[in-house]
Amino acid sequence: MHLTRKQIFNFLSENGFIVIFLLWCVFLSFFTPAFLTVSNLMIVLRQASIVGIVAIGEALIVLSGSGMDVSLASILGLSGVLVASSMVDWGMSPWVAGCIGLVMGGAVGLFNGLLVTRMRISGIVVTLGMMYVLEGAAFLYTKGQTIFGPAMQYLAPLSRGYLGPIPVPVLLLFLFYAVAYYILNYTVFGAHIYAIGNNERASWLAGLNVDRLRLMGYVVAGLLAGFGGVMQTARMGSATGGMGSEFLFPILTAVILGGVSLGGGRGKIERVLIAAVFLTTINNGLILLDVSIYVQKIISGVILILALSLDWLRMAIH
Amino acid sequence: MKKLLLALILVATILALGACARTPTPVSPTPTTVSPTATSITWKEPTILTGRLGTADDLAVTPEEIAAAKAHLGDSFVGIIPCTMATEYHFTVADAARKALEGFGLKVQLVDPETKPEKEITAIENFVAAGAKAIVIGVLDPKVIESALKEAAAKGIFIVQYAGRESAYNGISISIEDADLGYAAGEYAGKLIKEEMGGKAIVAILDYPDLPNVVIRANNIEKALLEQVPQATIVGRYLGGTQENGLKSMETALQAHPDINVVVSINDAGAYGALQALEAAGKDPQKTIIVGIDAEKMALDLIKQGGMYRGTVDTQPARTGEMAAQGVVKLLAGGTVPRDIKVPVKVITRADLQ
Repeated sequence: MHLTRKQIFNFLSENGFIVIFLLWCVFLSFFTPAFLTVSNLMIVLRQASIVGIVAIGEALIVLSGSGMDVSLASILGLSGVLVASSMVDWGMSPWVAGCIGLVMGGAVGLFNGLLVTRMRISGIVVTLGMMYVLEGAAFLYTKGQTIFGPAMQYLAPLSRGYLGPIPVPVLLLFLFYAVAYYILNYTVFGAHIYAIGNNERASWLAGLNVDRLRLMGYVVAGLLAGFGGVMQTARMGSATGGMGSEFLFPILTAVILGGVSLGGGRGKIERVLIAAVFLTTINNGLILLDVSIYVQKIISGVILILALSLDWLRMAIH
Repeated sequence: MKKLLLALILVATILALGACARTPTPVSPTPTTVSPTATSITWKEPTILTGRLGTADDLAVTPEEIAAAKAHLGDSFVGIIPCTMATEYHFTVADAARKALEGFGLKVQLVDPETKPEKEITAIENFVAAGAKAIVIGVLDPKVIESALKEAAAKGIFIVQYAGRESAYNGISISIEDADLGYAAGEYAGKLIKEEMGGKAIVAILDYPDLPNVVIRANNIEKALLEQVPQATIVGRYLGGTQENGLKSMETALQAHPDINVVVSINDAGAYGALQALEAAGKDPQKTIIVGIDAEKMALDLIKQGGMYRGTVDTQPARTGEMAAQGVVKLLAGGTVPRDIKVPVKVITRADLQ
């Protein structure tokens, strides 16, 4: 089959970062034997799981046209602190502690959503403020100390457990994405999320309850961030006030790299998953290649720029 | 004309301060018997001694000095800018300094720059604008904040720097040398390798290159370790600093170098992640060594348990914070104090905790 230049150009521009991702994987599989092993691939997926799951919520908010939510990483952090403290300080079971983290996440999401939809405050402003409030609360609560104790072992299966040959976090990652894919592509709710993101006024005129849909987006995102906090606490076996801050940029980058339009209404959830895995693969590959820690950031940046440049071509064409 | 006058006053102040720093006066072994009432105290510029490294004893404050410091501070305050409030070390330093200063009856304001040097600049500028008379600061990047701190110092604000020495303009530094910390950790790890592994080991170092001061630790870990055990192989430096970074880096590093059996980290937080990765990889706790820095509670607990975590270098954060507060009092009271003061380094091992 003979491909024309235009077809190649279109293919590259349509698939954007995925092409770079695949090229990177091919490069790594040739130059480092440790990359294409089951154990390493499971490590990559496990490392991508928390960012990936919380990025579903971020994508949902962005798709609904509410702009970016920068508080999700902080929800994750406070949730982790509450979960760890519930188990270590108050002797609660991991189930109850997990529920506390989820409820907190959902409640913060609801509060964010109410401020955005009822008081008409910009989503980025509300969540920026909330980010600082939650970070401050987490530090106030922990007083800068690490929360840890023997009780944390009861949460370990969520991070270190396996179901057959597959680590639990990896299984959860794909499970959440399967559900998100189904909801966004095959349910009325998903169609409405895309609709209000595409054209808020037309959706409202068509009888959609725009505010309620956006509110639901914030609540779901809060719940997912809360769950991310439970997973991260399980992964670390401890919690600190600053544990959420490391997730802010990876979550936002996964959504942007995944091609979700910041204006809302356009984007595919499966691409966010690929982006989350891609981000993890960059660092994984650089460590396996024994690239100096001082050079890693430069190469990571170059790879991301390349990936986003190809995606820009797609946007320019359309 | 007013601006010119102001500039002249500023220049004169800087020259006067510089002259003070160059002409040390001896430390009086006995405190003067000035009545500790604000009204009876005449404030004088502090005498900052150079040429010798001070100790905690140089910072002992008298009731008279506390009263003089309170009188000089008046309605103003002391600003505290730790590197971050997210790690136990910096939180403890800042919290101890705050408590000690408040205990002396001095007003305090605290800002968290979240490990971002540019936020430190903003915090310094805000403190200057708000009329702070002293700033206790953990410097993230000396070059980045140099001009902001010099500007503050030129306005007569005393700078008390902890965890570093370069930036203590018009003030003092209270610090464990990062080089000493790294060296102590590397030396201890090297001794363990020599005693328990016959001098041969596959070593990973957890670094944090975003912060120049911390890189000095990593450099000295490597230096001291190789001095002790030249036959050890250092497979690389990996991103640490936080538990998540340490975990991610070591999980991946173990894929490329499954025989890693020693990890030395620039702090405890990164070492916790390494511990998890090594445990998950099924490493024998009796044949694997982890050494960290900071002496956090969790690290002490892990050392006590008797697993891979074998030692941590105590940075004495609470003591550092208290010493910083005492330094502020000395400066505000116009006392005599060495420019550079050392907080002693101590490696904490299982033997210390039993």
